Amino acid sequence: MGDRLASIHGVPVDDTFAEAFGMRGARVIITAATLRWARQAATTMTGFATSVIACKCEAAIERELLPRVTPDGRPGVSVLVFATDSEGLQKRLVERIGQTVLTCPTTACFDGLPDAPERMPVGKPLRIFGDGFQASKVIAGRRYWRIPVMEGEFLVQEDFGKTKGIGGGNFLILGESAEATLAAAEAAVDAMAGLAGVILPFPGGIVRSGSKVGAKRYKSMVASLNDAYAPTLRPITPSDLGDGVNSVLEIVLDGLDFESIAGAMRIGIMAACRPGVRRITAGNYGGKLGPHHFYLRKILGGDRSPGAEPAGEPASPATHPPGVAS
Amino acid sequence: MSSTVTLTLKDAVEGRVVADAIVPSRFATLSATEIAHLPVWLARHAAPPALADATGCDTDRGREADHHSVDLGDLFSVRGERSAVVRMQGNLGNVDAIGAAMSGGTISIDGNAGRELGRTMTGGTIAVHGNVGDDAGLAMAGGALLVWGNAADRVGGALPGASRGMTGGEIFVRRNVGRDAGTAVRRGLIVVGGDAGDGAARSMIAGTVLVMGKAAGTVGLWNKRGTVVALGGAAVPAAYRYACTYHPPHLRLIFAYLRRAHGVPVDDRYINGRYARYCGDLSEAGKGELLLWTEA
Repeated sequence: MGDRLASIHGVPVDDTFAEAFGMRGARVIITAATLRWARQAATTMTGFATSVIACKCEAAIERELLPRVTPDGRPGVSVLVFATDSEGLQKRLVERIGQTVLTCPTTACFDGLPDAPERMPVGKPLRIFGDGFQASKVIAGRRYWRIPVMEGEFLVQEDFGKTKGIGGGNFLILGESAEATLAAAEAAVDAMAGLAGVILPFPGGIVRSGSKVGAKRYKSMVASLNDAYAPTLRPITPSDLGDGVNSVLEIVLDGLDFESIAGAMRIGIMAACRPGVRRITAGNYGGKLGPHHFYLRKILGGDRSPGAEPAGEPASPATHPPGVAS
Repeated sequence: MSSTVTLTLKDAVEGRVVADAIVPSRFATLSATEIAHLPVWLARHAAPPALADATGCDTDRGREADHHSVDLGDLFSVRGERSAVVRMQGNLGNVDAIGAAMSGGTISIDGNAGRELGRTMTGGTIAVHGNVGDDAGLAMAGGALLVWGNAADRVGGALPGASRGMTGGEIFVRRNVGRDAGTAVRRGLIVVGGDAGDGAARSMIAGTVLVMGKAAGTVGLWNKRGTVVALGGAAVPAAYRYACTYHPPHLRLIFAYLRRAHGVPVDDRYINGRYARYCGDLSEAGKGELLLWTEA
């Protein structure tokens, strides 16, 4: 374990893991006449897509794209969308692209996983908005639909690739104050911005309302407050906060593969370890629910950044599962 | 096994040669000796004076063709074996049907090629570093045909009596094409780097014909759902009606593809420009279009 880290810049990292789940993912590339409108469409498309618990999908902007790498040579934004199954993923894409990208001025919409062998129809069901006036074009072996709109034409690829993804990678930042914790979370989000294959689906990439599975008092609730990490409840519930912790924020990550999430978590945790942060931990269910386990110290062991210290004794015992908000 | 099978024409051949045995996938399984024993067809001509063209030009109609086969090795020296990458050298302007019905692999021709190049091909790539004769890409269904020089008449056209011409694939001609390019195209992309002769995109069913120069004469007559683009202008047929002037999003996609995948130089003013869209042919379904570049 000599290559694994117990603390970074003096911030202890728990010897625990984030427990994540298999999902189905797609990458959508939105282009527009200007980056402004590509961003607008992507922002609108990924609204209300923080958690599959209530939003039916999780989505966010992955990165902005230069014209030289987009299919039609215009400024673009790539979006990742995740759902619990293939059918749900296809439905969400059709709904969201139909309502938020088709409607947005100057946009076009392309598949961002062209090599994925599994395909799902997206432009094909959307085409009938054209009421019979739609037309298709096969370009470079792929079919696109030209849907007439009042502005001109909306171009959308007929089918999109889908792949097995992972949802629920996470880490928790336990800080001395709300201000310090938020600053650390913002630093983590900024450091992870634009990484390929990963999104942070919550507002600004940050979750303040981490959840546990189910609820103690309300059977209808799929997820409820993770009271073990709620500072205001410290004396009246079994708490995992430890001394000096007055605020906790969670970063949740979805990704197209394990390595992308692990790499992003490492970068994010490194950035989050700064003054005012008391501890870094992660949410899990004891490893019984999700097949993907991101061991924090193993992830961090892959880096020799300044300030990274080799592991000795765990800085704090492994925590009880705080759960993940996704 | 070699990386390339090279065929070099030994001597100039009288009359036309039908070399539809030159197919990469076939070469991929054959030794050099077996390749040399593949048949090619020679046409001997006896043109009665009474049937000769009044202009003095040769015409097929005025010929009495007497085909007989010889071995490929009688006309070409064969170097290499068991490869789907074929290189051809020599003046092949009277060698017809090269790559006919090919489904994969590559043929590279250093010089001119004859008629019916890539006839009914379904895959693979043929690159010609010269000019090609009539009927290049005749009824092709897939793959790519790249011509660095000119192409004669009926590029991507239909077999005699057939209702459909090209049904898939891509044809790129860097310079000019003759008459009737893209007749009855059902699907696929034809890009002409220069000008197109009279009758381009006649009876198009669907697909795209992109002329980067001027499209002469009548264009897009009886077009059902096809797209005809003329960057250098074209006469709008009477049965087309002006719709609007706009930025067609699919053209940007095509231009980006041409630049990236095929190195075709496309000026930014065409990519960013606006196009006048004319719907037609209204004597048909009227779902076709003629797009004329107007300004940057």
